[in-house]
Amino acid sequence: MQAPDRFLRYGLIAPALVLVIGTTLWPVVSAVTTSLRDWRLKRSSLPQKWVGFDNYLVAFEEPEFWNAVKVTTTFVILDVLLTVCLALAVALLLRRAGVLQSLVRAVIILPFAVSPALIGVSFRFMLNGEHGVLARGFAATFPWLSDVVWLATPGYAMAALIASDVWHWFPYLTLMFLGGLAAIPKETEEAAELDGANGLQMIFLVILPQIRSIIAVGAILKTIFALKMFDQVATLTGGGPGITTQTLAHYTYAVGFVHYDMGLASALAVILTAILVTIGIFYIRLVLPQREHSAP
Amino acid sequence: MINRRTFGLGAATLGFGGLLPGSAWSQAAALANLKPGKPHAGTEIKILCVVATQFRAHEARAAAFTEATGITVKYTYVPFANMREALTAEMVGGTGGYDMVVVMDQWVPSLANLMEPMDERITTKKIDLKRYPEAFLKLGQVGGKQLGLPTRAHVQLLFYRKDLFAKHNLQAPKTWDDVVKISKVLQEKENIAGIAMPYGKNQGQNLMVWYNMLWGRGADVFDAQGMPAFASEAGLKATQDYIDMLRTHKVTPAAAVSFNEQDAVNSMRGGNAAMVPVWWWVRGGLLDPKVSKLTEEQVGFAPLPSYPGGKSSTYINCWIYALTKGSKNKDAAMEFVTFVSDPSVERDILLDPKESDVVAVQYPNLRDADVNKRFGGMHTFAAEALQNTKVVPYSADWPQMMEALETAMSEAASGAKSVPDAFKAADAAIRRIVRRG
Repeated sequence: MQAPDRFLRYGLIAPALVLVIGTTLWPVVSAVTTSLRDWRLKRSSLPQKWVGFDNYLVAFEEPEFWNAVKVTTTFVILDVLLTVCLALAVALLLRRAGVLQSLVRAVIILPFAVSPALIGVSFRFMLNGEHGVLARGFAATFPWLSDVVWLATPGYAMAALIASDVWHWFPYLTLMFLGGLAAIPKETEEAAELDGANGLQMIFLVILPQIRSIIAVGAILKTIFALKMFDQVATLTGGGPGITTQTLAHYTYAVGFVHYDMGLASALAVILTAILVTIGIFYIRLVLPQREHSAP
Repeated sequence: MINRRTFGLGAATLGFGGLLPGSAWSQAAALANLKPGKPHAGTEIKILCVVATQFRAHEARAAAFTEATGITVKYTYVPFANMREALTAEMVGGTGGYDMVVVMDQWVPSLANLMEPMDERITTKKIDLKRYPEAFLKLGQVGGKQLGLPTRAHVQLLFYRKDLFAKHNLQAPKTWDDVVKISKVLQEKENIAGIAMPYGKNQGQNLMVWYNMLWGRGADVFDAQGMPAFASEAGLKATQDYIDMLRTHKVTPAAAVSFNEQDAVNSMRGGNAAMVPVWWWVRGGLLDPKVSKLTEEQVGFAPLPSYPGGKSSTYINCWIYALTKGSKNKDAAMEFVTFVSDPSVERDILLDPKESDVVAVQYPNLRDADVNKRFGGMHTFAAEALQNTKVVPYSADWPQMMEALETAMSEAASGAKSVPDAFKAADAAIRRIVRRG
């Protein structure tokens, strides 16, 4: 490549590069450096002395940190599993052509368009024991649930949190899986039918294996977003009862903006980022080979 | 020549003077302490403020201030849920984007770096601090310095269903035992929960009635050395009393275990509870026909109950107007503080028929006959309660400590832990916070 061409190339990508560095890399670098300093806002508006890995050690010593790790792990596993299963089931129902299917396909995305914070507030209202439509509906349909105060018992509060997120996300994954299902060659299903495969065999042995990579991509994408769960915790459960629904993202927020310990909050943010980056690498590895095999 | 703006202002002044007792007087009084000669004319004062009707009312009265000083005032409103983050961002940014901020008492020590001590300017402007209850002033102080002037403060009252109490020949409860007895009568005869109280986690709202029970039992949040004292025998008894109302006596709505303050208020105004102990400003919402089933004839108020032989107490909440350290217009901002904190402005708002806010922070208005006439004597009671009230000694670590306490309360209320286990854990957590410093 000629030198002027190279300069032109760099010149053209420079604005984008500056933007990426300014909005992505710089905050990460800033968080990492802050995590190595003592910065408690109640003492100073500016970061103070360097403390090495002290903030990380403090984080690992805090029982609230390990509680948040446990809550986040439980939430992510159940949330991803339920969202993916529900999305797959709905996608399989909607894959056939038909007026109803087309209509549902058009409107199903609506929950995904709602702000997560608003979803939390709405679920809080709907689960209110005195006037909530969901609480009353459950009580009328399942009498043994009539005494349940949804947001006051750890298990039910977690269930409410997961339900709100599944409701938010399953439409998006459904559309993603529908895309994958549409790409399956009809011949494979016809061949299976000729071989006498029943419905379950058709789904589990013929259809799902062919969209395995799309399911994996959807699951990893969902895992990344589930790990960052904050909005519904803040507006639906407040992390309670006690701290039984306090996720790592919500705990990080509390340490930064309630406890005013920016050093420790940055250390927690770096830990969360490290987990996300690790999963992100898996995600990219899954996505990139497909691109390499795709037509030029 | 009279232009449209001057005419409008004059007409408004005449209107206020004709309709409201003291309004024409008040504007003159509020303007009297301002610097003559408009030395800050052309300056714009920017105020970061929480959403509240009272501040809208202040903003509405700023036109007279602008006319007199040439200083314009611009309010930026932030919902309560986001206010702390907005103030924190302002403190960290330190850009002087705002000249004044409105800060809640609990946040004052941890946000002290945001605010400019006001003592010298208060002296220069001859603002008489004796007109404020001592408790309100204390909540705006850090290290002996006054960081701001009280502007919006609340006392607690017990609101109750006057109609149901009359129907069953019941008197407003004086003790917490009375609350349980009366609640059981009403639950049986009216099929309505006795008392709605918040037990869920939300900015320490599940602690606000509990403080009074703690004080009533002779316990306290902290001891003289600033170490946790709520897990003492008396403290645990008081806490058990609060939890028992929910779990043992079952005189609260079952859902109260996850209620925040708004849920408790909604419970009463929806006709699901007969009593609610809450801030006095809630009165407006309890009587608002748009959101409440209740009318003025149905709602009475009384001092919070106490223990036999004890005095009623009230936990208080106070917001201050403060100048920011980064402001380049501190003197002009102080002119506005002087204007807006004049007792006559507060009185104007209290007596304005278009306003329904009960909030008063100054003794002249708490004891004002017209004000008390309008609000049924609520302010006289508040003035008396304020002379004897205790305050929680907030420190820069308070928000973190409060979180430990509200978590313990939530755990005890949900039954996840016993009262002693939950509060001894909170005691240990707070000692850890103190040690870490």
